Amino acid sequence: MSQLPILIIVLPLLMVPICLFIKEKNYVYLLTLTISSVNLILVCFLFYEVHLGKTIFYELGGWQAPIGIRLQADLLSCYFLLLINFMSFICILSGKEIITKEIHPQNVYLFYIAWLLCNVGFSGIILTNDIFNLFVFLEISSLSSYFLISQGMHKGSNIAALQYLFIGSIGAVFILLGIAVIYAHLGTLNMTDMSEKFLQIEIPKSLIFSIGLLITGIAIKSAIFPLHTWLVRTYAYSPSVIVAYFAGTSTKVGIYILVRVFLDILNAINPLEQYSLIEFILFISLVGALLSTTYAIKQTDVKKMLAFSSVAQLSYIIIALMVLTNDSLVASLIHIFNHSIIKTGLFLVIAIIFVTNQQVKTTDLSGLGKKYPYMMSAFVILSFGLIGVPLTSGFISKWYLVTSILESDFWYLSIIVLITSFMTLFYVWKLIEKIYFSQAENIKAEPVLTHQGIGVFVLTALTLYLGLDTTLTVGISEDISYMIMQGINK
Amino acid sequence: MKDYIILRIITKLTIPLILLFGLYVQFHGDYSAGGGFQAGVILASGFILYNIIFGIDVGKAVLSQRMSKILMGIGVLLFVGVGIMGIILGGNFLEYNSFSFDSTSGQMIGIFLIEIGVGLTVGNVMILVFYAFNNEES
Repeated sequence: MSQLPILIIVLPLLMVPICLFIKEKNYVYLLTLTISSVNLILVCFLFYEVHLGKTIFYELGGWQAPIGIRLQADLLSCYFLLLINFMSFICILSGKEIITKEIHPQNVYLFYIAWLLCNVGFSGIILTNDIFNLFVFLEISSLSSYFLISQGMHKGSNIAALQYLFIGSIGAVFILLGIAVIYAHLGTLNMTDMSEKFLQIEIPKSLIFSIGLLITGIAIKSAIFPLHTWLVRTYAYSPSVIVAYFAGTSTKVGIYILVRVFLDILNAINPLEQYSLIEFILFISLVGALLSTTYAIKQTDVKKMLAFSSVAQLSYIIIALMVLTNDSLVASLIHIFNHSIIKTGLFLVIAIIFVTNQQVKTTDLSGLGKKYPYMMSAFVILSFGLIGVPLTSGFISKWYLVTSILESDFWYLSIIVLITSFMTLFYVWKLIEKIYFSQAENIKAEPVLTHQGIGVFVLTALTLYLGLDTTLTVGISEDISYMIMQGINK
Repeated sequence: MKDYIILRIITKLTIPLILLFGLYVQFHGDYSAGGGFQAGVILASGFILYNIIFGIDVGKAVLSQRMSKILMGIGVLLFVGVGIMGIILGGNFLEYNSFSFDSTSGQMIGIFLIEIGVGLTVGNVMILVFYAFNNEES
């Protein structure tokens, strides 16, 4: 059982060359599905081992920590690991037919290989305890996601991938430079070692510079306002399953890096406060929440609408992270989990119903309530979760967000959060009105396959379940937040 | 570009040197600067130079695109396989101590195989990128 952390990274990597040799798309699909379910089970085992606050270290090659490379699994990493692998499994399970229809037949096996590599990258980012390895894994996931995005049917998908490539590379350079400056000062790349050394020295100005570089780089990678422009294009034009997968994972991994590096490792809050950067970031996030919700209301393209909504939700998460009380950290962690489930569910419904459409306009939804009664009721429940209607998981996270911000020094921010939540109602209502109260045009409904239905059903059920029983999200988030706050107050 | 005599002669002269240097970097990587990554690029650059001067068809007769893809996969498989071998022999991932009768020679064997895996993958990726720019159909 001590080999669990490395197996989560290595098993998909082992499947990559095997899939390359097999090439037959059905077998490759089966292998991918098997390996992602095995991974999910392994993550559950790992979660069970760390759930009491234990931290598991894994030394690669048996070399001891500051010199050797080490993996680290604690509650924070397992929380995100569970999210990533669960999303990957659900999307692969429901995505087979969509991928076959959408991707060029020659490239299908490469598509699954890139998916596996992307998952390797995400798991690696989350599990590593070495900041340079974090950068390498970030590049692995980014490079494979450029390929995944470029495979869309829309003619804009190549351009979207290219734009993401350019912007992502700039972000990667920022991150690498930031890591280099930190390495020059502290002389170590191991995160645990780094956090100890960071406490001992007086922080020079150049380290503040490197923190700035890292924040900018991560903000680009995880599409935090105002660096979110690539995300909208990417969500609008890439293959629809990939949108569902990325909506729940890639931006959340960025937030994980933010939490891990700035709160857990570098304890960067004091230097940020000293230069009043906190107020600056809060202000930007507020503008982001307001603007992107307004843009979302304006959109006629459903995918773009949901993409802007994602940017707004990310702004909430950043606000809660930057307010940084114990409760607001809990709130942001809960919101990450709940929002991932809701957004992936919404995009998955759209992916299943509009497989062959290049673009999904809001008018395309009209009259679908009668054609796909189950799918559309799932869609409505999920979008209620997006607004934060009681009995859905969205309500729990919005409740924690607003109360925790109210109790902090920045209580007035909660007004904006409430206002933008109400504004969410406008664009969600636009969709619901089209679904149920518009006249149907003569489109014929294709039957929804069982395994696709299962994927959507699980996500919808989770949205409802996490709105009633919050032991998973709230309980674990409180433990994580306790752990991090203990480190900060040291 | 076969018609340019200077290019042809210089290429013929330099390619053995490039390949030799590539092999040196590959196998001396465990003692000095270098290793599979750099060696793969150097070896591939020699091969690509040959392709540019003598035409891509000649190059493809030596190493087809399909073969290159397979070699790329074998490289990754070798790397991961050696890593997992460490787990099977009772250590951690990439722990080579138990590969041989004593830990030093075990380390030697391990790093040797790993570097070959890295070199194969990197070199063939470079060649495949080169092929991809030349091919319209695939």
